[in-house]
Amino acid sequence: MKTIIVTVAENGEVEIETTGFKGKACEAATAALEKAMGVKTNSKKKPEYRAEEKPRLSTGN
Amino acid sequence: MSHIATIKTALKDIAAIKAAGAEFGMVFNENKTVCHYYSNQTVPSTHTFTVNGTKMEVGLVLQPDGTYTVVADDMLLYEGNQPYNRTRFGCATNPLANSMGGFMQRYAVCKTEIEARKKGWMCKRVAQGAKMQVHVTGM
Repeated sequence: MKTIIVTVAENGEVEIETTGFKGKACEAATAALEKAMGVKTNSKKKPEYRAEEKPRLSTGN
Repeated sequence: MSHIATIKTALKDIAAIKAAGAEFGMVFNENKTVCHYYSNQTVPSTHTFTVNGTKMEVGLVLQPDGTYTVVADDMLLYEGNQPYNRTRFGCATNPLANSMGGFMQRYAVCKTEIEARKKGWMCKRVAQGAKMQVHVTGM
């Protein structure tokens, strides 16, 4: 299941994590939220980020 | 997980500011340009909150970049054992927390819920010790 987990520290700092997304879909899902919350100070990509569907190779046959 | 982004929260949405204040029992005064603090002194503001149990107010000042800063007497902002905090708020410590951190935290939670619901997503608050989480699903 696709989930966005927003964790807010005592000082108001926000960490936004995505789960269940593959590839860049996670960034598209959170872009508006990240912008609305304030100023992004850091971003780390998880292994799943690179789990995009690989383009199928055509052999031409 | 695909990515983790860290955000420094900025107060810029009046609806979320109102919602956060309401959760602390504060009453929002739209366009109230005079914020009262200790001993009937005042400071210019854009909006204010009336704080339950005291005549002092929390002021919001609109900045040129569209964000709000908070102005208030030290008594309303600092957490600790000072008896006046207990008296003013009727509880053990200042619920707004040190330097309004508690308010910023609640604002971020309310803002997340507002933004998520705009997209038709569902939200669930989950306590994580001193931290607060919002789990957003339905996308």
